[in-house]
Amino acid sequence: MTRRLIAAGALFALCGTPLAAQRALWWNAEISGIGMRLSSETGPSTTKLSGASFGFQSQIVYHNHITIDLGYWQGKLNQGGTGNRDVVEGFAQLGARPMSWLSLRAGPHAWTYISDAGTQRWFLWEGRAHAQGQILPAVQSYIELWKVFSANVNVPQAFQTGMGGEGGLSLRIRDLPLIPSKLPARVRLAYGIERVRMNGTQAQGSRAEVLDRLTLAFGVEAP
Amino acid sequence: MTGRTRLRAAWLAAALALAPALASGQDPTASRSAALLASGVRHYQQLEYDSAASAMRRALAITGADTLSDSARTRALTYLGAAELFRNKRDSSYAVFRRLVAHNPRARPSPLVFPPEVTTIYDFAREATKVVRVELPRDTTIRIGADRYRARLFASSFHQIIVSVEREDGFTVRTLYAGAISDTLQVFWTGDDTLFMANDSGRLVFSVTSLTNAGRQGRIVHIPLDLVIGPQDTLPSPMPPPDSLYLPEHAPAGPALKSLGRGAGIGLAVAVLPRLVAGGTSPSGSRFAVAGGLTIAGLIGFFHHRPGKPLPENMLANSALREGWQNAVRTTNAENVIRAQQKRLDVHAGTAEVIGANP
Repeated sequence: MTRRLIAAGALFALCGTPLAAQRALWWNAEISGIGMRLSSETGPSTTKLSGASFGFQSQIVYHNHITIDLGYWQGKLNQGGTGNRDVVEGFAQLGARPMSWLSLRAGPHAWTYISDAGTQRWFLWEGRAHAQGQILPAVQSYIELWKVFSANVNVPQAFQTGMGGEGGLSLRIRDLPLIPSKLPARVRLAYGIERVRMNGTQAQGSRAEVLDRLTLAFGVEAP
Repeated sequence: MTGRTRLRAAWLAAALALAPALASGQDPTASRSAALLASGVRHYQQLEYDSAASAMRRALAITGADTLSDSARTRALTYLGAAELFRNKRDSSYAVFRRLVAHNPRARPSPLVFPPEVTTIYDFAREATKVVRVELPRDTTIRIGADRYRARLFASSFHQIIVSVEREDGFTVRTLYAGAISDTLQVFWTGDDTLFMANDSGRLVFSVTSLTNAGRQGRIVHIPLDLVIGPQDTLPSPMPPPDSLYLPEHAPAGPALKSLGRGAGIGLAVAVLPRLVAGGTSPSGSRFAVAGGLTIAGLIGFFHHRPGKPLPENMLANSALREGWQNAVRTTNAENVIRAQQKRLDVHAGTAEVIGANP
């Protein structure tokens, strides 16, 4: 399914824009801080954690059509002062941009929770659709929706469904100290939420992980 | 007889039919006068001057549709003059060269082909023959008062000429030039004299008189000019630029609504994202900050691109386009006013007639 999605996206992308209008390589890179709230429901019990993580993400666009997205964050989640979890998150996804406002991508998205009780590893295969538009010459908005196709988690329950969404806006800023004037800088504010559901036996109970996050990022991009 | 045998017989018949022409080295499509000229040149090159002169004279004598062209006649007379010289008929050669000069005052025997004896006697003949060749445009139109009718004259040698426009009865309407000509001369006629013609059409004669060294009238070239006077054509008024060239002067609704949709629409989507994606499970209030930011940005974008907002750059561009067209209309109208006051003269030049002093 994932392969088919990638192939269709790549084909769609290559038919989209004339070759003359294509740039060989375009990139952006940003550092971000994420305020996270995690709600983990296992059977009747619910665990709520919150915290922050920091990291970076980058996108490389090849000939306006092929995209590579990479990201890495690391932080801590607190459970009402009773316990901490270290969280490490990363993704690497390959995609296509069939139109200037739409990109599709797919790939692995993994995170790890490390606590005194042990390490919990989540490895998801996702497909994402990202649409963006210009509100003002310096302001852009976007919305991104994704679906989890498969998951490998070291918990007793089996993966059932997973999906998420994120929306936000970015503001281009100029004349910043230390930033070369030819590199446009952006500040991005976004809100996203995702939920992964897992089924278990009656004894294990079903499980749902809901993670919502508020992201504030600062980045530069190729001119 | 098989089909292949028949085909061979047909090829043989065609080859036999073409054989005489091919054997004599003649192009079967060439005219008789051209063939005689070619034959004369060949005889001349083989030093058979009697045969060359005979062939040339026969070529020059042919009239009608098969007559020699101007350039071919020039060539024939040149070779004939040279052949007569080498036949020791100096007077005849001189006379032929005078005919050549009268026919084409600009012709010169090539010193690469003909020896100095030939070019010398030609030069004598040219010096003694006072003729002018007149070149007029066959059909032309001039604006009376604005344009001039141009005649180009080519003289054989230095002499005095009188160039005039005359009525058919010989009355001189206007003398265009009276003086010396050495090689070439351009003479202009404004066409004003036609305004006094009784009708809008008529005939005048372009006349060039060559004078002898003694100042007597030597040779006259008359070329009839058929004239028609009419109103000057006016220029069509330039079409206004098509609407497609004009840029919109007021902002359309599209960009404003797009900005609103991209801001407020996505803001709304962010606000309801937990319900859509996570079934409303414990969403945080931070989404409203993002949704509010998006909505405000959308509203600012809407007012930034508000429908009906004047676009000064487009107005300026449209104004320049309109002004360019109006200038073109003004220029055309002014030109048409001038043209309305001018007359157009259509001139058709007839065949030249040469009178007197025929060498």
